[in-house]
Amino acid sequence: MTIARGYSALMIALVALVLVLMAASLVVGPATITPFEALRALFRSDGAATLVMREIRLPRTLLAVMIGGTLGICGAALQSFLRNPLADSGVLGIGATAALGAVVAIYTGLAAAFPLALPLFALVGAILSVLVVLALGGSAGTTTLILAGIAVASLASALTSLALNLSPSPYAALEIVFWLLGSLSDRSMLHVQLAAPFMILGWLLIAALGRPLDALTLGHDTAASLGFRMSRVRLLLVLGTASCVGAATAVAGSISFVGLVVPHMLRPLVGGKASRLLPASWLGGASLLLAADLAARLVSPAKDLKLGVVTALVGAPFFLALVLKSRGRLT
Amino acid sequence: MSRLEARNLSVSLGDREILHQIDLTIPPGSFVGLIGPNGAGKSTLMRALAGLIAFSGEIRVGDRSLGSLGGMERAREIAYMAQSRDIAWPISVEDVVALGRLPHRPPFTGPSQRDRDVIERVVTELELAGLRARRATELSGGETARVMTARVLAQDTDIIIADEPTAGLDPAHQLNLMKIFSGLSDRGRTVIVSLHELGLAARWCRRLLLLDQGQIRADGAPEEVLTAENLKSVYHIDAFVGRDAGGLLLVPTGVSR
Repeated sequence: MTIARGYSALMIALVALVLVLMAASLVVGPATITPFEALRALFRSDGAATLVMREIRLPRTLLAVMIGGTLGICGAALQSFLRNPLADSGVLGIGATAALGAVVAIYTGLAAAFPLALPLFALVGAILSVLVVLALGGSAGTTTLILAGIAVASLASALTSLALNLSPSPYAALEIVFWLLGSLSDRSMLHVQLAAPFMILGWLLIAALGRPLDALTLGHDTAASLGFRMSRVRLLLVLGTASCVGAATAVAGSISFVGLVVPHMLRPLVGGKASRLLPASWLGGASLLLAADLAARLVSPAKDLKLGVVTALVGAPFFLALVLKSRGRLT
Repeated sequence: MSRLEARNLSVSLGDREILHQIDLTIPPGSFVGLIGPNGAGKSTLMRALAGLIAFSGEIRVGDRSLGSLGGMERAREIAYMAQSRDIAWPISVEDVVALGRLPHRPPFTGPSQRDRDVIERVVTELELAGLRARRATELSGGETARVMTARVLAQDTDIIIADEPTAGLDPAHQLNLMKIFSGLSDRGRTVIVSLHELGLAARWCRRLLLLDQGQIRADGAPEEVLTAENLKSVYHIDAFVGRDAGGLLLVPTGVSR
């Protein structure tokens, strides 16, 4: 079977790519440590270098992998579920409400008083959006689900704008804007520990949906006739996405385009099957975000270029190129 | 082999009643054509029988109630071929056919030898060997219909329900599909198809159910159901009904309002 062999080769290549980019991400930074010393300091206690590696670079690298993987797998799952190549976690409004939660934490000053207030508020925002989206569009078809998600996202971004509008000082407004742009700088292992359980839960929930998502290739009725309970699939998908995208937004802000572009790039390479696309998109998303974060650090180390800006700058033209290439094939 | 039974079956969508107290028994090996004008409730009846929508009354598969079957159990008894042949992603023909095996595969396992054997048999039967590696999104209408039929056959169920399987196909493909379904019923499977082509229904199905406004207006052999009177009152058409060596012939000749 050529497709099966091609798939194993692709997965091995993607794992290798993630590992190489992780190593690169660990050895790049403002502290003058040689790559060899850097990697050695990570595994052996070696004073200051170990501190830099374990407290600054490792969390950044781990978060890039976890968040990139989250955006990739969620994008793949939502595109498969909605049978729409333009979907990503944004359609459920989870990113927008998580951002709103974070903005509330910054706006009220809680984030300054208590560092974990920001990610925790963002998680609460994500949970609230899921409850509203499920209540509004829970039992009906996919269109209602998207409409509910868009309504919630619009409301959340309107409230975020309101917070900006009413912000007590220009500095608070600037902090909110910078946070919204998405970044992985100055994150600690505490952020990793906070996000990891939610993300792992989300990945597991979504990974369990491979077969029903495959069946959905032939439409909702056919998938149901193959024995899958679509209401349950939708519930697991929304909860899984909320759990991991909520956690991703909570620790890194909004990062766009990864969830949209990665499944697009990989779909032809895995033969179109959702159950294969999910793990491949996890690895692809992790690679893309690691690369984007590396680019942000290498291009302008002093300016603190925001990660969300880089992914959008790289993602949008790339996406345009894909659209041009696949025009004609998409209907 | 299971028989399919509906007792007092009603279906409402919103506050509109689509099916009204349908009673129906379909023994194993039947080849039933479901006919009736647009909006008569054919698709709704098929979806109810396939367990895809909520209904009141009772549907029994063999000696069990349809509602008591788990999703996967039901999918091993009843296969459903949707009217839409839309394929969302460019997956291979073989992967489409293999989807029919999903209800037979325990969680977290690859395809078994039996799964592979069934797929092989179906691919050969429907002459898809040359197409198996092709992208299913790039096939002609007739080829797509064959692939979808193969997917249903791969599910290997006693009961097959197909919603307008012949729609949009040229005569050769239509005849081919009816021949396949007819062959399946000869081997003891129950096949229920909804049809708009009365000529095909007349010639191929062994039993016709004429549906109108959510109720069964006639039920029986084609010549009993396709009477001038029924065609006039339900379809509002006049038709020539004749017979040759191969069976019944029906040609609509005019609208009678």
